[in-house]
Amino acid sequence: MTRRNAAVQCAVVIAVAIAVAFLPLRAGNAVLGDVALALLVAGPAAGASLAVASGRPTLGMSALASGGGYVAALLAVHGHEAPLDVGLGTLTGAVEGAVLALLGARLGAAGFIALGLVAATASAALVGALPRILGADAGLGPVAPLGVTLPDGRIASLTIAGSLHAADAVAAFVTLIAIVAVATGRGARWRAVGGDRERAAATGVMPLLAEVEVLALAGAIAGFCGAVAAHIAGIMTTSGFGPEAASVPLAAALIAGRAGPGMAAALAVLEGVGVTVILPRMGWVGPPSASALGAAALAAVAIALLAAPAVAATRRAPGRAAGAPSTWPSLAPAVVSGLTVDSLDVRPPGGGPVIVPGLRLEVGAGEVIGLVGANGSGKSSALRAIARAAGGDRRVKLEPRARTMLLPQERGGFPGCSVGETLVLAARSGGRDRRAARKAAVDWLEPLGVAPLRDVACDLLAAGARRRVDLARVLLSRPSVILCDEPLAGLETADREAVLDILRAAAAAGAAVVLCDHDRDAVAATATAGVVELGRVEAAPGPAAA
Amino acid sequence: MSGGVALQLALDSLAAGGVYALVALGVHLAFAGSGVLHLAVGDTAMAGAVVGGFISAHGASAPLSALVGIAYGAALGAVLAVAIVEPTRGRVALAAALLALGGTALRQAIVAVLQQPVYPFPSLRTEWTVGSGHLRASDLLTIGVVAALAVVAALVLRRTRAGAALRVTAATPDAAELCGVDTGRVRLVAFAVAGGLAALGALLAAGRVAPSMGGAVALTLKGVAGAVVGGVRSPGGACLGALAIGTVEVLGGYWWGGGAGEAMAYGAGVLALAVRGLR
Repeated sequence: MTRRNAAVQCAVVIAVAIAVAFLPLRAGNAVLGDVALALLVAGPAAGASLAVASGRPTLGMSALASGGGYVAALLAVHGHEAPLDVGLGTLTGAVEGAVLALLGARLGAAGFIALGLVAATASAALVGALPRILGADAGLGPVAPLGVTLPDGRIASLTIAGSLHAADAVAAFVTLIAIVAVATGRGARWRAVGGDRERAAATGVMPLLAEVEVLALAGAIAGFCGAVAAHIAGIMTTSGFGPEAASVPLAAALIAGRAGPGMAAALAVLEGVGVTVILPRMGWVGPPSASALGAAALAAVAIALLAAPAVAATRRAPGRAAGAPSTWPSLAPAVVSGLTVDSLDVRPPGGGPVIVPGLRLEVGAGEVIGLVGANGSGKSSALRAIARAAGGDRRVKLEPRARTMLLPQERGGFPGCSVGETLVLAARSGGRDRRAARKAAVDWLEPLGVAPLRDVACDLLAAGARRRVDLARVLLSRPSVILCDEPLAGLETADREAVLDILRAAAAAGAAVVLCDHDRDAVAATATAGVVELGRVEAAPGPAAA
Repeated sequence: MSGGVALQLALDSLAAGGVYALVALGVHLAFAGSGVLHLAVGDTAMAGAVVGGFISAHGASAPLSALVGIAYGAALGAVLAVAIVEPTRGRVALAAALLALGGTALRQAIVAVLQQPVYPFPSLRTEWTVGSGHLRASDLLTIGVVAALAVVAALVLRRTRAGAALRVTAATPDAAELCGVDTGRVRLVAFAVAGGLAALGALLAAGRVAPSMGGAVALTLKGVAGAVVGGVRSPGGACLGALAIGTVEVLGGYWWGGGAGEAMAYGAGVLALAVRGLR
């Protein structure tokens, strides 16, 4: 999401919130209470959208809201009223979100979805069992309306219109927080992790920290709304932990996609208004209940929109050819170092037998060495093995503090981030402060030929532009050693030349480059330190060394 | 604890675990065929069982109703494969999310059509009293059917072309296609068989819990938890994990109440997901 889109969404949220504030002039109390509850679904939906952006889609967001509501209700029953109970409900949501992130640290997105649903259902079972343990004070049951204790001991409670205004303000506040958070620098890190965890880690972003941050924020947002909703509803039940409630935020977030938290919140609120205001007043009694029907309808819309072949979802933005070699900026590595690999046994990434025994190669700072071989000969595995062993294995020798970076063969850039955000993230990981990182990123846009596409998501770029951006991402991190895995694959002539120009320029600035590709002619023409054919070194070095 | 109660708890655990084992086997088959975690398997199961109960309530014999219910569960599994898994091929997280949402839509669609939340299904009512424990004939039937199906599943997976196609697709789908395996058909069959097996599980459990769409998510999660505990990539492991989940649930319920038993079963699933992941 660009900052401009975020600003537009914020303006729309504020305008809608102001409009809703005037609803008491046109609607009766019965409608106001239902609308107030529908508005508070914005929190879980905005939280789910944040989670989706960071690659952690979850069915647990409504359970986080209910967890916050349950803690607030439990505290209220024991005499602790707002704002303390709401604050602790919010904190509970944040802690639950962080714990969920930590529990799911080893899971892919699919496993994380299952984890969220299992954890939500376990919470429901646990909370449902608590009354047997705690008796009547278990927090399930009537909850007093929001109010404050006056100096004379009386309690001033909000009217129904006041509750609507409170819900309106809370919904707008949490939605604005989510929009701003996902659009700013921290949000770019979260989206980078969501787009490509491995690349993000290589670019200096800590994936687990980012996931804990985003789910804690999402949990806090949901918990805040849940705590306020418990007071406005006047009763706390376990229904919010149920599967129907769980599906609404996720469906809204998936439908909203990159439109972000504002759109997700709007969809969820519309669904909420539909099931709490419109359907009952149309005479719907079910079965299924109005809320279950609304959840099912939203789920069906999500399936209809998203269950489409992947190719139909992408729209390519071509970019133009890159500039001349002399214009490449910011190429000097932070630490100048060569690379020596001595007797490294290479195995496939998932483990298994040795496929390249005793790999040896040596490339000095400012040199390019080629790596060629037939399909399946272990070229990619060799590069990954070198990247893994660098800095921690005596068979791979580098200067102290030298940094090795891998340019992976597949994809490129961060799918959830724009070109500009990708370059800024990379520049920050190269040790620059925020201002210098932005300048470095801007300096790269024009020579890469992507200046007009600064705000376009990387996965919408054409293959050549995407590869150039990914190479710039690697170089902006100022690595000492660059391991390039088939950087020319699938590129047309102009893009191939641009990529080779960047690599030559990086080497000229002091980087050590290992270039692996199927195009033996291009590799031989670029390599200045010889070409290795997995196990033996060919005699002829490249033209620069000749 | 008397010997009779211990025997009853053992049979209860085996029966509950056996039902979850059929669901877990379905989760394994779907995962092996597509790499997708089948988060709607309980919905196809309960839909099949509810339809079986509906037909039975309208005069059909129990075996015929069960067959129709199993076929319905299998058909719904195939529909999910065609409507969700195939179009989202290569995007397993999105497929899992849409399956979970598809389960929500399916549950409410069934409820809207049949207009009745619970449909009892005929089951064996015979009980024996041993000491202070009660042994149910329906539990023995469940255990026998699950044991027989486990043997059949093992033979099919190891000795037949279909089993080989599934194993090759699970290991390397691209290579499987290059070898002439129709992986789309493998996914379709895997989801259909998963739906049928899970529906059979829900019908076998009808002696304890009448089929209802409200119990679909619980069935999904216990099957997934079992598969994860034992290893979602191994059919035998998935079944053994499901037996462990059933045992935890029954023993937890015996000592601390039904809600606590459920919470412990889900807790085991959460722990297994956190520690093992989808391996």
